[in-house]
Amino acid sequence: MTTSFPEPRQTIESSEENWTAVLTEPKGLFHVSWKELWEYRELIGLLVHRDFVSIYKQTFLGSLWHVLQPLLQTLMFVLVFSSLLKIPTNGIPPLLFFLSGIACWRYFADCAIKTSTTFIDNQSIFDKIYFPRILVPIALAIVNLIRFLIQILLLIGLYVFFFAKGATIHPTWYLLTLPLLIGQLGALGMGVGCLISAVTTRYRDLVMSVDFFMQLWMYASCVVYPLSEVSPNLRWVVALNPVVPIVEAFRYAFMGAGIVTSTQVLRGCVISILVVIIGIIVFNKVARKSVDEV
Amino acid sequence: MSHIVIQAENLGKKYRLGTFNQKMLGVELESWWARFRGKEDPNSSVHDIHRNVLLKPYDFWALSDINFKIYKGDSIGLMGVNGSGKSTLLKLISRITSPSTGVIKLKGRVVSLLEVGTGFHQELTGRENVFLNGAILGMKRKEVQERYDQIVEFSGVEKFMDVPVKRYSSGMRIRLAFSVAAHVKPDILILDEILTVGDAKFQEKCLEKIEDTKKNGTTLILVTHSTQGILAYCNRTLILEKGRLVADSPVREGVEFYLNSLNLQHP
Repeated sequence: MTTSFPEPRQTIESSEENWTAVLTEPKGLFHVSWKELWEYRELIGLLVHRDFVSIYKQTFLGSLWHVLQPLLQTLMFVLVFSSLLKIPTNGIPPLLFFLSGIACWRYFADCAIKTSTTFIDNQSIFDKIYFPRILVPIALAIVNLIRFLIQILLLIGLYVFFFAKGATIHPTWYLLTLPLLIGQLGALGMGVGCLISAVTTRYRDLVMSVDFFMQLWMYASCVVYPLSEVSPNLRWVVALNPVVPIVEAFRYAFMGAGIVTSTQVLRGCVISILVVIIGIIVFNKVARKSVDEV
Repeated sequence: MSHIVIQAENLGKKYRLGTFNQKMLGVELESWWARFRGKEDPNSSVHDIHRNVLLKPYDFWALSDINFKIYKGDSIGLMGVNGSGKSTLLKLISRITSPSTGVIKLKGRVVSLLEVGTGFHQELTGRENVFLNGAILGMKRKEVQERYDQIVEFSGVEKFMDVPVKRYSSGMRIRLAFSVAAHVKPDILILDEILTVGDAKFQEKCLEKIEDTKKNGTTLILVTHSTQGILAYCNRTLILEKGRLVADSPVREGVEFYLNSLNLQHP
């Protein structure tokens, strides 16, 4: 029952149609408003700044860690997989082989892992302020892209060193596809992260298993061994993993060694696109529900 | 003659309550497996017969049948006891959650301060946080730059703009955060119980700022339990009771209605 008091106003009826926003129960599955994303582009920049700067604040070596971390991991892998286990690297200097694999993998995995906890990490913001939630994974992907590019610079530095020493490596025309490969890898990571976010938001215990799951995935992704070491009958199974053709193509582009077929690359692209689309649908759904249910 | 800036039609918000989402995956799989084999769910309670009613998810309408129009320049005092649906209504207008029925139409930029300092990052400096928080509140970078000096001056923490916010005292943090929010210049401003930030002197500054904002034609929605505040700043009240709009009236009648509904005397 509404107790109404006489309203002393008149309304200008004609102006009523120019609404900035009409909010209703959400309909439709795949909804990304490009116009809105464009309007919020500055927030993306600031979120990138926030995430990039804040990781290594108050550390002695600061942003040097962006390079040191993968380098240390590479040295460890060289020691374990190359020196001890004698895994061949297609004639590529082991340092370059593992560094390229690790850089690619970390880029993918960091996108996926960070995106997967978007709703848990940002709950306090999401509860109080509206902005398109997809901005957060996009910003994360850009942060990781910057780190990846820095690591590529490191790779190029070492590459020149080994090249001058006369290692049997040579760049190929596949270098031209590099921007596409890099874009695909980031998008795939974001898509996978979106998919995982659906389950981790609902079942918190799965957050614990994400790291383990990603580690398993790494060992299935030709990071520590070349595809040519997989027995020929099994290669097509391993190459179903969309990360494999990207890692192999990345190495082939720089070093001219590895197995890259256009079928694998195209199939990887198709799988990545599907993952991203399904990922965004799932993400939007979780975004709507998480405020009411988390 | 006034323009409508917010219009709610037949608005409703449904929440599901009960025992959803509170289990771990293992427990749910166990229940699912038992049902699959046609056995009794090992996780259902022995006392299910009378607990069943409570445990099954049920619908709770936090808001229903809400209709109102808010005009440009209005200052609305939104009142109601705890649990009456005020926060839900604010969340709907701020687009944090979506309505289950009906529609809200908005005109202009909405800024809602449901909490002071949302999105402040501890590791970033005061200056960085001003820009980040400004962007989260929907300001363009250029706008923040233009108003940066005013924001810093208003907050009174000029000396500490290059210090990480984690070193701030809670009072400093709140003042800086409110200062950013106060300079957004939105078309519609939503304030939830935040008239009580900082010390008395800073509060006075905030109230002046709100008065200024009103003069610039900003539509204000104010949620507070202080009838004094409502009488001072609002020209109209919306009163919610158990998720329904029970009164939509000029401020004096509204406050009286509200106090009567609480069986209290007018102050």
